[in-house]
Amino acid sequence: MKIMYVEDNEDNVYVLQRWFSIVGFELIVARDGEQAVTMAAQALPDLILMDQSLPGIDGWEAARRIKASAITRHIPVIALTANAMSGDREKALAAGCDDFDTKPVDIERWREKIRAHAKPIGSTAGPGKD
Amino acid sequence: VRLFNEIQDKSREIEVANRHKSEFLASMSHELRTPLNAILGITQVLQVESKLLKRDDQAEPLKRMLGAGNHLLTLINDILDLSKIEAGHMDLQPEAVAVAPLLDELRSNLEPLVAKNGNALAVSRAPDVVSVYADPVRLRQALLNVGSNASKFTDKGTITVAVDHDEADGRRRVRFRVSDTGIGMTPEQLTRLFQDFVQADTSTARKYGGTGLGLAITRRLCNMMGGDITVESEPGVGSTFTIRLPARAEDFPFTSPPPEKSADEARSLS
Repeated sequence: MKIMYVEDNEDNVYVLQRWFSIVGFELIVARDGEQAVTMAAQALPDLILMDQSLPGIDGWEAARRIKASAITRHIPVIALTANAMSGDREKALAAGCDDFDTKPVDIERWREKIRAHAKPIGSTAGPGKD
Repeated sequence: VRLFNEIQDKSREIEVANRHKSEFLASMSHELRTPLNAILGITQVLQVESKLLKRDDQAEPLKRMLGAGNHLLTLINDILDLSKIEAGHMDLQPEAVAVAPLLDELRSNLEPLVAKNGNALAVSRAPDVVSVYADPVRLRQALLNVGSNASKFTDKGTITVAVDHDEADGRRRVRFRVSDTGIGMTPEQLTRLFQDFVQADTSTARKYGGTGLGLAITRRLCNMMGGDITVESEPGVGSTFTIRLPARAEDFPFTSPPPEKSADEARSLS
């Protein structure tokens, strides 16, 4: 399982690196929106976790581009935003994201979201087989 | 007359200083959250690792670290909200909010909280209540706040959310009533309830957690949206919180600003 995390905060990247190394997932990290679009097409991850406030083009626009490309459109995108209550769910779905969650990192909740969306479904190592 | 002018100048100075204080708090709260979120994230990873490595001795301290960290995060978020309101930076965007999906969402947000104390949740809506005129983000926050309070102070009881209409002074209002069968409050506790940093009892924070800011924030938000929040309660029987908000834009009482902080709040609405 290969998951791309789009995030510019070092501490958040560290948390996911450590978590995914425990559960045996491969993590690739894009630091901004432009990089996310390019990396998605090159690396073809199984799932994308996308922070929305990014330098350069934001997560909404990056998600839109990923979903507009025939190469990457099938990859599930989970949007991550800072505020649970700001109508971002609608915005995420409008941008073509498959799901939505809030920051800060919540391993228990994110694990469920990743489980629900990540393919291949037959994979034995779900995140958090702990 | 000179004395009067001096007093006026002084009060203006104080008002400006107060606003600066609120703005400072708002930016500080934001800066405080980033490192705290890092601490919380890393603690969660350690929790996963310790489970995997069967380090049961670490379970309790890690749980306590997370509990305390989350409490601190709630406090910071509440202070951020309150100082935004005080500084007149809380921008509300009222619109017609559909009530049925709002209640569905509230139910799914409340269910895990309600289940924690073994409570049941019942949500009902009068069929003629279709929409309410409010800021959707802040309305959700207000309802979630009151609902999570209800489940926090109730054990193996029932939380009821009932929505209907009422009418006063020719204005139509949507009424959200959140009732519980919990510990309730005495009349003395009720009088202090909506004040900043005050819970019904000083021992409450220790026993139930929370910041004591939630209801103060909720009351301000309801006032800013042209409505109000009231409470009825009986010790040992339960409490009912009632939030009333304009049903339509024309029911918004622009002419009667809330009693406190009306200048700030009116400004932030414009």
